[in-house]
Amino acid sequence: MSGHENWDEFEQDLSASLRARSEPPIIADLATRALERAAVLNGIDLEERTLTLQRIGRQRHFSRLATAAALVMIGVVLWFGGQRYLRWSQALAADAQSSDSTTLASSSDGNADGALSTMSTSTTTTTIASTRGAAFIGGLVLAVALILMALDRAFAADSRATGAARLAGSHYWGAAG
Amino acid sequence: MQCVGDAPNEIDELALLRRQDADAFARLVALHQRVVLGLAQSRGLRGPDIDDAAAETFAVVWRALPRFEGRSAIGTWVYRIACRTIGRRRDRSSGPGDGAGQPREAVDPAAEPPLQLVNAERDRLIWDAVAALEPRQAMAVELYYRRGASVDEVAAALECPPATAKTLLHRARQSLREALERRGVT
Repeated sequence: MSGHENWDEFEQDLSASLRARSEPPIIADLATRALERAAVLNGIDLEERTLTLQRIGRQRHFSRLATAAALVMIGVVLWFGGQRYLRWSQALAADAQSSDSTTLASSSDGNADGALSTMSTSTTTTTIASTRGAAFIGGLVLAVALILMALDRAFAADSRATGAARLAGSHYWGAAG
Repeated sequence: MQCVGDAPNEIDELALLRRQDADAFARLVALHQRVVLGLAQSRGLRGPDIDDAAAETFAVVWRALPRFEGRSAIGTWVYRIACRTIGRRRDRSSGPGDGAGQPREAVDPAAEPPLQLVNAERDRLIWDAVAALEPRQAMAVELYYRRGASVDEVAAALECPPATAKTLLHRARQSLREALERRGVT
């Protein structure tokens, strides 16, 4: 075909060659075969759809369990954390009260050095207690944030499962004309 | 290309097809199977693979019939499905139809033996070159040059704009010319 000087001649030869090709034999029962194949495909689809729905069911179950577990964890953390924080607050208040009374007693005795030392100890105790309290509150906030993230993931999984269930239930397979 | 839409009782026929009437489906298959078989053949499938590809194509058509919206002629829609299904089938089969190890096809018995052999060899090389083309190019060549479809029909079957169909045909011609020159077909 390299001898062809223009596209027209090449196209004519190409067309003639393709048209000269013997056609595959007509299949008399092609419609029947197609119907049989369609029945098989329908069966496969049904099986796949059933499996998909089962998988989605398991995902949903898991996500609900995860949600419930996260809610319980939030409750436990808040309850125990609150209890502990209350105890710490009370201890801190009692400590500060006793320090104040010691300082006052020392000052009234005229022992300036002793008063100064006691004030310094009181300040240190207060600082340590404040740091612990801040660390505890920070930890509590972090724990709640982590739990919220877990909840978010659980809800997202549930949302995905719902979407997949809709898709599996719909007749999306095949082409629309 | 033939279309059910060309028939006078088009609406009735479409309604029957959408209801998955087996007789209407048999008529649809009879009307379009030649082109579908030809498409499978031009993509390098042989023997039972052609039959399987055609059966699979019409099985997909049957299942999708209730959702056929009539936005295109049903023939074009069938060819579109055929292009996709045969492409998948070809990917699953052993490899491209380069003619190796495959039976030679019948040639025109009226031709003189030497000329017949020369023509047969040349035609076989052309068909193999078509089968080795990129899938969409091969489909475009089959529909345009062998079936006499218009560019618009090719575009509809390949789900692309007419300009893209023209580009596909142009590139197919270039590829074919280069491939045939490499094989010494003059």
